[in-house]
Amino acid sequence: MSSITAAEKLLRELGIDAAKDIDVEAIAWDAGAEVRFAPLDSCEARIIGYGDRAIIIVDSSGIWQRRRFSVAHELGHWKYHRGRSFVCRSDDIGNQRRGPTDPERVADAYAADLLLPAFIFAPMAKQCGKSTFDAVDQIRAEFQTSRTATALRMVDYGPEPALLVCHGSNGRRWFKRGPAVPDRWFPRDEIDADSDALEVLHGTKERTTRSLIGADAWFDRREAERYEVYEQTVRMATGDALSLVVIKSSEMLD
Amino acid sequence: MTRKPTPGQKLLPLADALVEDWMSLSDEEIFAEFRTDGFDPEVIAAELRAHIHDLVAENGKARLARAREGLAEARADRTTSNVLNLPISRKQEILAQFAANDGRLRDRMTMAARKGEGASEREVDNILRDLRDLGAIDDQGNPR
Repeated sequence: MSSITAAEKLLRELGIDAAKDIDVEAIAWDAGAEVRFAPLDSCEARIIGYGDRAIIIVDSSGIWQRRRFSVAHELGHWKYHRGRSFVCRSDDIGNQRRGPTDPERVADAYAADLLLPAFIFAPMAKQCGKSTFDAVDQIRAEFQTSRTATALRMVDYGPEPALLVCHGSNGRRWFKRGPAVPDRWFPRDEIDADSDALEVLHGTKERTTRSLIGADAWFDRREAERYEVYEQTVRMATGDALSLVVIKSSEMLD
Repeated sequence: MTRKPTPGQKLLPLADALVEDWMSLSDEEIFAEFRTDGFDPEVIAAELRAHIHDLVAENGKARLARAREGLAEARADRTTSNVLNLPISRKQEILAQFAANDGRLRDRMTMAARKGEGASEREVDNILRDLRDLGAIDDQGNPR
C-alpha cells in the first residue's frame, strides 16, 4: 500500500496537496472528459468516450458526495477501460462483494484513490488517534466523501487495526479487514445478541458510542474468548448497520 | 567566411574545461569542495529538492487552473443540436449502431452506464447530444 497509485500520481502532477483542492470536474477535464449533471432515469452515471475525449453524465438528483464519487468512478473507467463498452447494474458502486479485478471494483478503487488519496488521508487519519465514526465524519467533511467510502479508507490507513463490517437484515453483507488484521479474524454472519450493533440494525438507535466487548461477539473462534475489541456502529441510509471493529490486543495481530 | 569569435564564445572552452573538471571529481571530492567553501552539501541538496518540488507543484496548480477555465468555457459555449429533432426510431437506430461497437469506432468508443437497465427517450437524447458534441456523429446522426 506504500506505492503510489495512478490516481495519486495524477493528483501530485496537478499540484494537489490538500483535500479541498480535489476538484473532480477540473481533474476530469484535464483527463479529456467533460462532466455534466442531468436527470438520469435508468442509471446513476455513464461515460461516453470517443477517441481521446469523453463526456461523463451524472444523475443530478444524487447527493453531492455521491455525485463526486460517480464522477471519479467514471474517470476510473476512462483510465482503465477505454475502448470497452459495457452496462453496469444498480449495485455496481462500492460493492465490496465483487472480485478485485471486476471493472466496477477497479473503477471504485480508482475513485477512492482520487477522492481520498493516501498521501493526504493517512496523516489526517493518524492524527485522529482512534478509528471511530466521529473521526470518519470529521475527515469526510474535509474530503466531501460519503461515510462508507471514508470508513473503508479509515480501515486501510487509520491509527488502529480494524475491520469494517456491514450487516443487513439477512446477515453480513460484506466486510473489509485492515492490512494489519490477520485473515483468521473472519466476522460472524449475524450480529451477536450482546452487541450494541443490534440496536442500530433492528432498534431505534442511529449510532452507538465506541465500547469494549468480547471479541467472540464478532469472531467465531475459540481464541476470541480471550480478547476484547472496540465496536461502534452507525445506521446507513439503506438501513444496514455499519460497524467499526477495532482490535485491542496486539496478540490478535500475531 | 569565418567570423571573429565574440568574447562569450571565447569563454566556452574555459566553461567546458570547468565542467569536465567537475565531472571528473568523485562525490566525496565535490562535497569536500563545498565544505571548504563554507557550504553544507546536505542543506544545499535539500534546498534544491524543495525548490524542484515547489516548481512541479506550481506547474501542476497552473495546469489545474487551466482545466477549470477550459471547462467553464466549454460549458458557456455549449450549443443545441438538431440531432434531437430526429424521429425517435432514427435516434434508436443511431444509438444501436454505437452500442454494437462496430466498424472503425470499435476501438475508440467507450460507453459505460451505471445502474443501467435501458435508456429512456430523455436519456437517448442526452447520449446523442454527447455523441454529437464529441464529434462522433453529425447533426443528422451520421458517423463522422
